[in-house]
Amino acid sequence: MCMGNWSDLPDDMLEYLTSFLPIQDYHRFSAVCRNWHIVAKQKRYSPAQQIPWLALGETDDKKKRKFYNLLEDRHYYLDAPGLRGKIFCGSSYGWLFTLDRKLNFHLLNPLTGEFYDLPPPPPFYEGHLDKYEHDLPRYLEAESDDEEAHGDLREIFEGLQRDFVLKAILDYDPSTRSDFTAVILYGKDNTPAFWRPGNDAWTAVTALPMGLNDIIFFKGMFYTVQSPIKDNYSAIYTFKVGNDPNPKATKIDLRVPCHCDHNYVIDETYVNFQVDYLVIFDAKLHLVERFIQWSDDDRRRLTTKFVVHKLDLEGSNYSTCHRINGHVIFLGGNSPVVIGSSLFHKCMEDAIYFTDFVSIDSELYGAEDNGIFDMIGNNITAYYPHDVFHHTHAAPIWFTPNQWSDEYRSGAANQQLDTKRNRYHSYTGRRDT
Amino acid sequence: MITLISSDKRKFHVLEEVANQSLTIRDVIEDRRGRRRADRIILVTNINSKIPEKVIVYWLRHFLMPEEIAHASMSHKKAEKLKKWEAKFFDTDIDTLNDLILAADSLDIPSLFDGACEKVSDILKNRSAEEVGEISKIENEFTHEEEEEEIPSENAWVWRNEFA
Repeated sequence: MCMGNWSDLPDDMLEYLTSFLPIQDYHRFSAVCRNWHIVAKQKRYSPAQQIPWLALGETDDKKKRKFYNLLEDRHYYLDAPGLRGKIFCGSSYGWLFTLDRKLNFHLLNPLTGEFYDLPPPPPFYEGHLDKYEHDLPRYLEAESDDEEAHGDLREIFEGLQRDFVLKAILDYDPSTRSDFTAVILYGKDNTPAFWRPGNDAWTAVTALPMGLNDIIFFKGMFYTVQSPIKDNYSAIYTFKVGNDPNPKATKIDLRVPCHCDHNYVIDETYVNFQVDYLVIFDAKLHLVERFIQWSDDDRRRLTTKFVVHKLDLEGSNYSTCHRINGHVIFLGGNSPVVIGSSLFHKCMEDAIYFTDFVSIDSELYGAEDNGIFDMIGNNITAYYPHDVFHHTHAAPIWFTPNQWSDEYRSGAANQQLDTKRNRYHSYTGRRDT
Repeated sequence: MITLISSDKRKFHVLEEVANQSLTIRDVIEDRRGRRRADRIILVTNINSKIPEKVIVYWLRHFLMPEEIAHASMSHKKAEKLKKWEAKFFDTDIDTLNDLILAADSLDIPSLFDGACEKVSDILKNRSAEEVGEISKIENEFTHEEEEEEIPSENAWVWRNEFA
């Protein structure tokens, strides 16, 4: 009889215990003792779900990339070669879309090092690079250490780099299936285009208006939204990437009126405006409106509040949510991450954790605009110290580490976990009858 | 009524409906149904008396609402209450949790097993391997090479932070 002795806990129980640990704790667990090391190496279970990390800029020596876990209040430093000098224009399932100064485009899982070479984003418009015709070759040929010598060019091309892709998403996790689709909103008009492994180029989706600003994959379809301007409506479009080589989008018959007071025009741009996001939770598509307003005190634009609407696509209707069922939404340049707050006691319930909205007009649209919007208290608080922030060029986005996926779990272990977790349920179910 | 006898010979009388939350006990009772009264005594020889007490307390709390738990149909208020109660129940030392895991496994009480595992994982989270070793009184038994080279080189990013 060996009670209370940790080293004597049977291996299958230790393995099961690892299924409750997020990735970083899983690795720490493996370093506790030799036996735990062997147990963890089996990777019988996926690590536990965790809140996303904030993907930040480079360390001062430019060798590593900083990530921040807000539950632990701890930074992690990754030095995958594919991360150097890149900006992130999307994050889905633990994969980052990275774009470098020479407009090389990649899809990378920084924890496993797996990556896909993506074709360069399509040109904005016919001959859009013409005005840089003279500068571009000079810039592209410049070695990265020559950056100082090309300061003027650097500014132009950093802007270009940022403008190329507003957002990039995946329909499925490339670690679990190879027939996934990547979709970007690119260029000045934020046109959607898709790419699948094996394709040589991006294919644009037609029949869409300009100025879309978010895209999401939901029940086999892509949905994209155009934020409203004054007296207008948020418009939602949908398309499917299937066998059709030239997919067309259709407009959803659903109009959500603009809730923002667009006033105060400077240089033909509204100073106060609304940005729409699409988010899925409770198996429904939701429209999240973000209001950004000029702050005289801060001399820049800052987010003031969010409003969430549940969309009824079939009924062409919507209803405004006052709570979001205790969920927590992580919003930004990434695919939105929604988590039940009961899983994470330290997270605020019914809250939206947001990072900067980066667009073509970043300087005007406000850098370092991040915080937690509390839907119940209707206020915004901070989650990350301001002074450590960045140039908009490297606006942080949420990133969920994914080192090995569910598919990795052997079928048997997977089944075992499910049976274990369901057994209590089936048992009490039987009691009823 | 059935009787459980722990390793230190203490007896615990429990209503069958309550003890049925252990799938092991339920199966034993099912097998012995219709037989002598003595067969309603179950030896839980691998468990000392401190643990059955805790397990029975857990059973009694859960006995009140198994259907609601199973179908996740609890009201928000009730769920909050149960959550608070469980937090208090599992707020114990790591050795007791270890015993609860073993007891929940041998008695086959999945929700208790999961609850205890989750609590242990909460204790392990955000702690260095050395701290966990101290808490759980485990010798690491790594060779010098493993400790100095193999482990730090695997997933180096985990160690490259404030712990390091």
